[in-house]
Order: sequence, then C-alpha cells, then structure tokens
Amino acid sequence: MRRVLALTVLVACGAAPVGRAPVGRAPVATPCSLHRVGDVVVTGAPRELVPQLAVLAGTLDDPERTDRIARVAIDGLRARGYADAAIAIARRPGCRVDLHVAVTLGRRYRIARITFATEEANEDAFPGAERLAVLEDALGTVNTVGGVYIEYRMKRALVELERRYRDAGWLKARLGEPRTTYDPGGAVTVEIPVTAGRRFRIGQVKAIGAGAGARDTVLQSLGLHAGDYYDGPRIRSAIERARRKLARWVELRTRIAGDRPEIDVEAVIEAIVGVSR
Amino acid sequence: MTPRPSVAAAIALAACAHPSYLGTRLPQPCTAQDVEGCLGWMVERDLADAELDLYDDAALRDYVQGVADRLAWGASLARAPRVVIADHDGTYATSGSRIVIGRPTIERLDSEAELAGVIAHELAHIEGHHAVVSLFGPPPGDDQLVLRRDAEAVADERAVALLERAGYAPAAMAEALRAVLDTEDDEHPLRADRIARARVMAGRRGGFEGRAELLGHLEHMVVGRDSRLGRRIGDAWVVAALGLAIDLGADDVVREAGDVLVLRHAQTTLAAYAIGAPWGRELAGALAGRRTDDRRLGRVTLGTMAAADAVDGADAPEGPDAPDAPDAPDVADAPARRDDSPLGKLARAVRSTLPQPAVGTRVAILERPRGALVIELGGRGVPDLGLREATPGELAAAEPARIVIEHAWRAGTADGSLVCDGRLLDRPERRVAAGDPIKCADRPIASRERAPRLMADAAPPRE
Repeated sequence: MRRVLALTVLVACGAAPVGRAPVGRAPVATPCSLHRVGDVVVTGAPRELVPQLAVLAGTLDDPERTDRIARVAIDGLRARGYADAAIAIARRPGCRVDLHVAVTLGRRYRIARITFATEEANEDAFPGAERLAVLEDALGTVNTVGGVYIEYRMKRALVELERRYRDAGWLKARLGEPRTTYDPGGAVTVEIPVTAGRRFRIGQVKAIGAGAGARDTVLQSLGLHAGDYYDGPRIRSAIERARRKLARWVELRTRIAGDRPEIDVEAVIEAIVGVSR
Repeated sequence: MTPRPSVAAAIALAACAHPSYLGTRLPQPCTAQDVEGCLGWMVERDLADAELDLYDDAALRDYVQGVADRLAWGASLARAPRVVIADHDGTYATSGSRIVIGRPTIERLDSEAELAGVIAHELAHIEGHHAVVSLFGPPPGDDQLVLRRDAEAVADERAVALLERAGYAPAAMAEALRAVLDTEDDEHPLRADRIARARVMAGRRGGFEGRAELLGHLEHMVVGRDSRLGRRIGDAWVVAALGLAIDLGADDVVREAGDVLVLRHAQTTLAAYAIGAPWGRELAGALAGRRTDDRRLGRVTLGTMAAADAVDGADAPEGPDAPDAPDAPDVADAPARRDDSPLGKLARAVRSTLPQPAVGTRVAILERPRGALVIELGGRGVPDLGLREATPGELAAAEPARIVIEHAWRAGTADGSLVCDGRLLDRPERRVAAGDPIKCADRPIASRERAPRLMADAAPPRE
C-alpha cells in the first residue's frame, strides 16, 4: 500500500515511476516560451513512424525548418512503403508552441513482382536469380519481392547489374528506367526494360612481348578458349595470376572483332617488374 | 542410401554452420532482417575486433551508460541506446541504437552535465532517426546538406531539453559544444551559432553539474593517443598491444604516422600497423598466392591483397595446412564471385571501411593472441625485419599517460592553483576554489601525443 502511495505521489509530481527515475534529480523547470516547441501531438500514425517530427519537442520553433523536416518524414514513410503518405502540421501556441502532426498514411505497398522486359527472345539468358540478388537490398527488405520499393536504390542497383551484364559478355546491354505499377490492393510491380543485345564470345587469344616461355605461361594462366563466352572476372583473375607467376606487368587488351560477336583478347607482357604496381 | 562418413560429416558441418562476422556468430538482428540493429552490432564488432579501437574500461563505460540511461528516460525511446567508448576522437550515433563516444572527447569535458550534453545530442539523432535518414534516405545533394544542418541543430536543441528533463544544468550543453568543437564544416551549423543557441535556450536555469562525479570516474583514464598501438622507444618501434618490437636500423628512414610505422629499409618500403585478431585472420585467409609459416612469434602469412570480393567472409585455415608450395592451388585465385545475399552486401559495405592494404599490395600478416600486425611491403624483396618480442622495459615505456586528479591548493584559476605543473588538462582559466579537483596528466605530454580534435558528429553514413 505504501508503495502504491509513493508511486502516486511521484507520478503526481511529474517524476518517473520508481526504478526508472533519475535518482535524486528533479527535472529543471522551464518557463513558457513561444520560441520553443512544446508537445508534438501525432495523429493518424504511431509517433515512431515520424521520429523526425516527434523529436522536435523542446526545440526552438522554426516553421520553415519544420516544413523541411516534414518532407523528410514523408520520404521516410515512403521508404517504409507508404507511397501516398502525406503530413499536415498545425502550430498551436500555448505555454509553448505545440505541433499537431496529422499523418495520412494511405495504403502500404509491397513489391509483388519484379520482371525484366525484353523483346529479344533468346539473347537475354542472364541468370534470373543473380539478377534479382543484385537488386535486393537492406537485408532483404528493400527492392525485393515482399519488400519495399525505393527508386534511387533500384537505379543504383541497375547500374551495377548493367556492369554484370557486360562482364558476362553482353557488352551492349542496356537497362532502362524501372516502370512501376501501384495496385489499389497494395501490390507494386516493377518492370525493368532490358536490351541485352548479343552475347559475345572469346575470339582470338594472343600473348605478345617477352619470350616464348613467358608467353606460354601467360596463355596457360589465362586458360581461355576461342568460342567460350566472355567472362570478365575470370579473365581479370587469370591476368593477375599470370602477373604473379611471371613477376612482370601483363596488360590486358580486349577488342571487339569487327564483324563477329567476339572479343579478341591480347595479353601484353611488359619487361617491368610489377611488384609495386 | 547410407551417406559416406565424409558426406555425413559435411552435412553435419553444414547444419552446424552459422553465418559469422569477424569470427563472431551473427546475432538475431542480422538474421531477422533488422538492418539497423545488425549494422550497429557490426560497427561495435569493428571497433573491438578489427580496429583495436575500443577503450576497455568497464567501470567508465558503466558510468557513461548510466548517464545515457538517465537521459533516455526523458526521451521518446523504448530503451536507452548502448554506449560504446572508442579510442578515437569524436562522438557519433550509429544505427542500431548505439552511441560511440571517443575517449579523447570525454577527456576534454569538465562535468557530468557536459558529458550528458554530448550524449544527449547523439541520443536526439537516434530519436530522430537521423543516421537512418542518411543511410536509406535520398542520395546526398545540395538539399541534403541543408537537411543535415537541420538535423544537427535539432539535436543540439533537443539535447538542451533532454538535459532539463533529466535534471542536468542545461547551460552545460553550450559548455560541452565549446569544449568539443573547434572546426567548421558544411554539415553543421556554425560553431558560434550552435553555442549561442544552446546558451539562449538554457538561460540562467540551474541543475545538476557533477564535476566531482565525472572527474572521479576519469582518474587513471588514458590521455591522448594510446601509445600501446605503436610508439618509438629508442631504436625500436614497439607495439605493446601485441607485445612486439621492430628494431630500427641506423640506415632506415623512419616516419611515424599515428599508430602506423612507415619505414624505408634497404630496397623495401613498408608500413606496419596493428589490427584485431579476427580481422587479421580474415585478411590473411584472403591473400592471393599466400604462404603461411608458423614461427616463434606467431603465424606469418605472406601474399598479395586480393580484390575486396575475395575477403567476403573468407576464413583463414585453422591449422597449419595452408598452401605452402609456391605453385600450390590458391583459393583466392579462383574467379571472385560476389556474395550477393543481402547480408553479404551489408558485410561487404562495412568491411570496406576497415583498415586494410590496397588491392595488389604485398602483405605480411603476423598473428598474435591479442591482435595481428599488418606489414605492407613496397619495393623489391622481403626485408629481414628485426621483429621480436618487446622487452618488459619497452612495454613499460610504451604505457600511455593517464589522468590523475589533484586538488587546488588555493582559489583562483586552474593554472594558478599550484598543482599539475606542466601537466594541466583542465582549462587554465577555469575558476577553482581551494580543494577543488583538477584534471592533470600523470606526466608531461608532448603535443604530438595528444589526439587530434575532431568535430562531434552524427554517424557518417555507411553504405
């Protein structure tokens, strides 16, 4: 009973419940001021969804800044999938200026499907799972099926995916602007236009410079055969291996054969020790 | 069909395998798609296991955590952020509700209320999800700078409110800003404006200051740069944290860059620095063309720094079975394929911020029980370094300076109080009464031993 009484007194005095209160420290009394924000009252959504605005309690009242921060809060809601979110703020002077934040969340959208649209029937054989893996972000919560769509991160991922295409032999691959469709049921579908073009193969493989032995070593390290699909990471790794074996700088030159979808590979062995490169 | 023993063992191993980061099993936030929580955990692991940058003083951490808990009570957070004390300067909030406060920052503060001010600023960044905005908000641009300055101003002002709610003297916020800021940048409002705003908000209201409380917890704290990570002592470079010394020859050209030794030795240039043991093992395991040799001082791995992809979660061999022969097949020689899993991407982004040699650099890594020494080699050949165990005398000499609290003999200014001659860490003009505690170093500190002062800040975005 005494404990209940003590709790009642503490709560009535504005202190925290026992066990959480700062021991022996009463809050510092603050006078009324129309230069400071009082409470931030959030309606239409939990406060946790607009933390950028909720944290304004006790700060200086700066309406222009508050408007900018409201736009950041809207971006934050959109990044959570509320694509149509809106925020209206009313300022109500009292002891201080209270901010009344009315949030309209709207429907929460999740990605239902990501497709790659191509008009080339047989050319775009880039592995589908790898393609989606490049796009997926933020521990699988963004830009993946079931996750939230964030446009700028998708565009950033598409730059990387285009690089992967080129590395896998689609040297002229182009990925277009993602097209999104928002369904009233809360599903968003993302379509990515792909123009893969032809997939290039290895044409001639030559090593030039240095002696015959060194050239053989380089060719052996490269392990490339005419007719194989071009594989950027594999070739770069092989060149690095050849450099270490020979302790010489080996320059890789690639050239697209004029009339064939082939890449001629030339390894130029220089007589420079490559250790410090 | 009954699986063969080796197959059964492989299946059993796979079943037991858990994803890990820097040798530590990933915690629940990482496996439950909690990006912020996972990132915060990784940042703390980096400080401890990769950068050797955690200040290891449980009592001080508990005290600072207590201050954060008190402030969090007045904030809109479900639970108080975890406080981590780092050995580098600056203070920042990271994802995953963590506040990293630098030991050199704490060193400059004069009271618990000022410490609370610094923590409250970061706590406000966490409340406002400001670091998360940097991480997942729109890409940086001109508008972003304005928004960043808004976030910093809000954090300062909210900090004053949090100090008030927790019973601290709100004027301490302006004092804390004055103590920790001495540079300007584009991402923060001007220093003078920040201090002036905090002063105006605080007015003349009083509250708890707690100078004696703070100073009581700072006694014996390291001052300035922690020289155990590398210090020249006589003719040797001593890395006391690893118990190692490198003898410096009379013809060697030596340059000390903080904790890094840069040395030109015969035809070789090298840079040597200490890192955490798990990170050392990962780097060693990912070297291309590596050769491993178990020596008296520890395991030495020599190889070439491979592309970042090769370091993704690569674990060093556990036993002395690493490929030794020059032409042995090398795992790192296989074409590098990126780990495109969401966790792989996150880990790769975080790893890229860790100390490591540039791709293509020849590297020797010496693994010790409490860390690893990375030696980056340039030029020709492998030098015959005079690498050895540090002597007890060297280890003692490498001990850093520490704080001692002395008491003013007479009233006046701190520098006229007849104590701490040449070792004063308090502001010289600070007014003190007779008997007041004064912050001093236990020995005179050369200016270059003091850590550089940096801007207190929210977490730099880590993508």
